[in-house]
Formats: sequence, structure tokens, C-alpha cells
Amino acid sequence: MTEKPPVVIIVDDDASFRSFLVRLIGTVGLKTIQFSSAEEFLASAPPDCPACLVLDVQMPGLSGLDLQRQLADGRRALPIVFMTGHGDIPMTVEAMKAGAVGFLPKPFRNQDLIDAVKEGLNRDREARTKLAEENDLRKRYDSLTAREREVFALVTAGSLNKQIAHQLGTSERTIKAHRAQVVLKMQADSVADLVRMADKLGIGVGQH
Amino acid sequence: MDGHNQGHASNRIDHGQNRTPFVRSDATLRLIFENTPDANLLIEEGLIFDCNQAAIEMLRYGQRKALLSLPTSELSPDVQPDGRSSSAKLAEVIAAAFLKGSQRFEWIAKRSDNTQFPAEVLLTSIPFEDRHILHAVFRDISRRKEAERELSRSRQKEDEFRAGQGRVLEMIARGETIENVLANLVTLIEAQSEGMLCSVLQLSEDGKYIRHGAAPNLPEIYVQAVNGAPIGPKNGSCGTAMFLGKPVIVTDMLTDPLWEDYLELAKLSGLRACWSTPIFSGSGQVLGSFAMYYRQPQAPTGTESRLTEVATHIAGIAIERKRAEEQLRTTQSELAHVARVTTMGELAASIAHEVNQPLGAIVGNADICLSWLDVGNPDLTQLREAIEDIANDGHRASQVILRIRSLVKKQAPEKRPLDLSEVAREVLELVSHEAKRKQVALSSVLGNELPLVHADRVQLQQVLLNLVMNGIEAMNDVDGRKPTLSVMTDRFGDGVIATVTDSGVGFESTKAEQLFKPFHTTKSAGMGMGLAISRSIIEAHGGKLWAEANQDFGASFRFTLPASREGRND
Repeated sequence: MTEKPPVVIIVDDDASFRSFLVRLIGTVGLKTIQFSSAEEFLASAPPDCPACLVLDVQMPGLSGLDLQRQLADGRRALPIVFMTGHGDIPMTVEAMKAGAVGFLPKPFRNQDLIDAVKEGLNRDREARTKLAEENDLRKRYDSLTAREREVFALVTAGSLNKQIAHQLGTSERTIKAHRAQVVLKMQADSVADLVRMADKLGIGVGQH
Repeated sequence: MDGHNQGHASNRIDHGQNRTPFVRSDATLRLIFENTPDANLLIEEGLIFDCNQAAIEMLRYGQRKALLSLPTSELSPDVQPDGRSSSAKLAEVIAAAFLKGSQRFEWIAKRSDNTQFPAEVLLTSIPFEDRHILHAVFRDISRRKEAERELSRSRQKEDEFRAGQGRVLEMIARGETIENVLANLVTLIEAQSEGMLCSVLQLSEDGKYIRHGAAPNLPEIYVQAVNGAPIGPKNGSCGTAMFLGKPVIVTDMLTDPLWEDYLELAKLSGLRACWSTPIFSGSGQVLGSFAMYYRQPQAPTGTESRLTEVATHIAGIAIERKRAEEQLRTTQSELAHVARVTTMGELAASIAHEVNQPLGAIVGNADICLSWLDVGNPDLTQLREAIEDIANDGHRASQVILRIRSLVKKQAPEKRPLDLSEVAREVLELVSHEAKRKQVALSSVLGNELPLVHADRVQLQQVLLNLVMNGIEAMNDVDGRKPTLSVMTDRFGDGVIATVTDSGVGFESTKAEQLFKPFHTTKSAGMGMGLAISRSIIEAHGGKLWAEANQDFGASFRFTLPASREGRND
């Protein structure tokens, strides 16, 4: 799977600072999109590529922290690099707790922002990969029949074929056939692999 | 002379002698008659029939016979000082004399040479047999009259002097300039004595140097030389008087050792005598000196020391009051400055951000440029764009600094013709970021072509800034409605009005006046002087500042200012 080129989204109400950010991020060959307010950004289509937000904390209307909250509640959470005109410790703590990549007081060293943006993009790449994997796994799981899902749950809970057959009121051979189907459809290499998948899908022992 | 209260002489008149010359019968009486210094005349039917030596001399007739048989009308000018004819008045007093026995009155008499003199006349009717004889005694009262006139002249002069002092004190009370007051005082004192010149000098605040006060009639070269000269134990009359805190009398400047170092100046000035007296404040501090000069060597008399007392007293009041006013002005302007700096402190976070923003871009862009240069062979177009951005941001940062610098700088107020809308625009720029930070919607309706006001720009900015910051503050704790603040300027009568309206917590309309009391505060950080100072500033500009509770919510602060007399000419 070839990855789409990443984009850095700049949201700052100060035009001259935006133009500096565009220039700076451009020096490392990254693509940028800029918005002058949080509202403007929210009205745009979400990016379909690895992305990182560079956000001014203080803006008229919706503030940087408000935007962070809204993104976390609704759309896909994007990594955020915050910038602020003056260091405000409680604000920094709040932003970092909510998962900000960095909190840079203006003026900052160019490299610090570049590093933070790269870190943000990496995080988003990982998140996107994880999400894609999850989606893929969920698709595979969805292809199982109801009986196969029961078998899947019991197998990953550590039950033996005999126990499963007894529990489901069928023969051990039938269970073996179901089990082979599950391994096939889920594209698992081993029982241990199946257990990891169950964990990711949130299917555990407590299913019963 | 039975029954009449006449002199004892008449009692000795011999009643038995018919048609005999009156008095002549008694040599002793005659002697008295002739030697009395008052002019004595005996008159019958309007003609003089006897007189004494004094009458001949007083009326300048040379010899007795020239007077005898002369009609009494010859002894008076045609009219008396009240404008009535002498004959009519005389008829009245004669009638009264016959009726009452005697009549005493003042009269303008005429001598033979037609000169006139004031006289006191005693007219006595003397019933002698059936004849109507009048005895007239003339006493020359020229000297007394002259003395009376002299007295009234000096009284009038004294009254004028008093009125003059009153006028000078009134000038002080009206707050006229110290130069005007002292010049009037000097002129007043000089008018009291012929040939006298005066000056008032002030002592510098550090107590070391002479400062010009007033000397409207002293030679210019002398006045200029004295201004700025140091005081000391041998520094002319005034410098020494101020130094010693005692009067210094120099009767001759050309020989007195105190003037040794200033001999050339003394010669040049043409002045010879200089008596200087220190002027004290109520608390005994030397404020200056008052000096009297003459062009001849001389020593003061009692009159002059009285004048000096009056002059130093009034000059002391004037100088002390001027100093107190200056002190008050300085204190007020310092207080206003403190309040300004306090307000700027509240704005500090916003200002820091506003400066930081362009600074951040400048530093960042400069670093980018450097890294491009490090790599070598940079794209000149890109480089140029980045440097242009740096220049623009630098300009922007300096604008922010410029806006706040005048507000923080300590300077004496200076009134000029100003456009209130322009001042409001500057304040709005200053607070725009603070409003943004506090999520306050800032709006303004500023009048065009408003009449100019005569005001200090910084102080007006301070008042508007204070009102706007108060408004923003008042909306801090308001939930449920959008914080909005509007600034309006408009015409108001002949002058202008500014209104700052917020949608904040407001206040009870009965408590409007309390807001302006010193140390009244609702803020945790404020010192509660903002509105009190703002009001004193507006009142010092001839305007009014007041608060109104809005009908729905929030408050409006308004102030008016009169139009400058200079008008708009831009």
C-alpha cells in the first residue's frame, strides 16, 4: 500500500505568522494548508492523508484548545502542535493531557517546530496504520458466521476442542472444521495470533 | 446788648450816647478791637463803617479809609463755591444773624486785589439803639483748608493703595500667572513713592539661585544680569538678603562692600540705593526678595518700610501659591502616570503577545534565510520575500511599542487641539488584542469632523483606555450573553461626547456616583483610582464624566468636552 503525501495544517489568525510557518514547513518539503480560524478549518473536508495540525492557542472565536476538544469528540483526532504568544502553564498541561504533540512558546527555534511537526506526522501515520489494520481485521471478523464467531471466542479464551464441542453440543470434528475456517478467514498464523486479534477486536473471555 | 449772648465788650457800650460812634468811646475796647488778629468789621445798612487793622491787612486795602463806606458786597466774589450768588447767600445769613443773634459760616471772601481766600465768618447782630449794626469777624482759614485738602488727598491715596492691594490679591485668587501678579504688585508699590523703582526676585527651588520675578521698570541689562545669579553672603542686596534671610539696606551701591563684585553692573544700571527684604513662606522658608531702588544714595523712611511690608506679604502669598499649584499639578500628573502604568500592566499580557507575534516571525524567517544561505545558491526570489516579511514584521512590532510608549512615558501634560475620534481610534488599536483575548466583540461608531478639543492626548487616551478596560473587566464573569463593547464619539452641544458601553455586570443606578470615589474597586488587582483619576482629568479639561446603568444590562460611561477655541483648521 503506497502512502499518500502528508500535509501540515496551519491554523493561526496572524497572516504574517502563517506565511512564516508555510515557508518554514516548506523548507523540509512538506505540503501545507492554512486557515485563519478554527471555524474555517472545521468547515473544510477532513484530510485523507497523514496530517498534523499547527495551531495558535489564542484566536478570536474558537480557541486552539476548543478546537482540540471538538476534534477529540467528533472527527478523527489529529496530532496537534500548539503555539502560544506567552507561556501559560495550566493551558500547556491541559493541551498536553489532551494529547498535544508539543506546546511551543513564540518565538521558538525553527528546528523545534519541524521536529514537533515530524513527530506529529509519525504519530498520525501510526494511527492511520493502526486504524487501517483495525478496519481490515474487523472486515475479516465480519466475514465469520455466527457459529464461527462462537468458536473464535472460545478458542481465544483457551478452551480445548473437546470442551468447545461439549459446550456447543456438537462433535469435536465439527468444531475442528469451524476452527480451520476461523484461522483461514482471519488469516491467522497461529492460535497466539488469533488471541492478539481477539484482543484488538475487543473480544475476550468476558464475552459470555 | 441786653439778653444777647455777645462778648463782654458789648456790655460796656454806653447806652446814653446817641448817634455817637460805636465803641470809639472806650479806649480800652478800641485797643482790643484794633489788636485782635481776626479781621473785624462793623456794618450798617450794607456799608462798612468801622474796621480794625487786621481787616485792612487781610483784605489788602492799604488804608482804613479805603475800606470805610465800602459796600459789603465788595468783600465777596459774585458766586460762592456752591454756585449760588454771594448776595443772595449773604442776605440769608444776615437775616439769620438778626433773628438768632449771631451766625457762623464759611465764606469765600474777596480782597481788594480781587484775590480770594476761604474765611470763617462770625456775624453778630448788635442792637444799638434802633440801629441794625452787624459785627463781622473774618478769620482766614486758607491753611486749615489746605491741610484738609492734603488730608483728603492722602486718604484717597491710601484708599487707592488698599484697592490696588485688593486687585493684586484678586489676581492671585483668580490664578493669573505669577509674572502678571508680581508685575502688578511692583507697579502698585512704585506708584506710592516718587522716583522709586522696585523688583521682586524669586529663589530657585533648590535655594541656590536668583530667578527673575518682576521688575517692569528696571533697566533690562540689570534684570538679565541678576536672573540666574547665585545667592551668598556678599552678593549684592538681594542675593545677600535671600542668603541671610534678613533685610539688607544698601544706601549707596557704589561704595557698599556687598556690591563690590557687582560694581560694574551697579554703575551700568544707574541705580544707587538698593534696599532688599527677603520674602518668606508661611513656614518661614525664603521664597525670594523684594527690593526698592533709587537713582540717588539714600536710606529708607518709615513709609518705605511699611510699603515693603505690604509688598513682601503679598509677593509671599503669590509665590507660595504658585509653588503649591505647581506641586499639585506635579502630584496629579504623577498619579495619572501611575494609573496609566497600572492599566498598561493589566494590558501587559496582550502587549507581550502583540510584540511576540511579529518577533517570532522575524526570528523564524531570519533563521530560514540563514539556512538557505548556508546551503548556498539560494533562490533569490524566495529570499527576498522572506526578508520583506522580516521588515514588515519589524515595522509592526515597533508600531506596537510606539503606541504604548507615550502612555508609559512620564511627561508633563500638554494641551493641544485634538480630534476625539482620532484618540478613540488609537485606544481601540491598543486594546484590540486584549478584546480578542477576552473574546469581547469590539465595535465603534466614531463621529467625523468633530469639533476639536483642547486637551492632552495622553491623558485623553488614558481616560478612554480606562473606560474600555473597565468595560472588558466587567464582562469577565458574565455567562449567557456575548460580551460586547462599543465606543462612540459624537457632537454634543458646542463640544463633543464619548460613550463607552459594555454588556457586563452593570451597577445599581443609585450607586453611580460611588464608582468615582477614590479606592472604590471591584477588581482584585486594581487600586480603585482609575475612574477617580479619569474624572479629575476630564474636569481639568472643562468636561464632565458620568456613568449610566443600561436599560437591559451593562453600563455606559460618558464624558463631554468643550470645543477648543482654536477650532478646526485642518
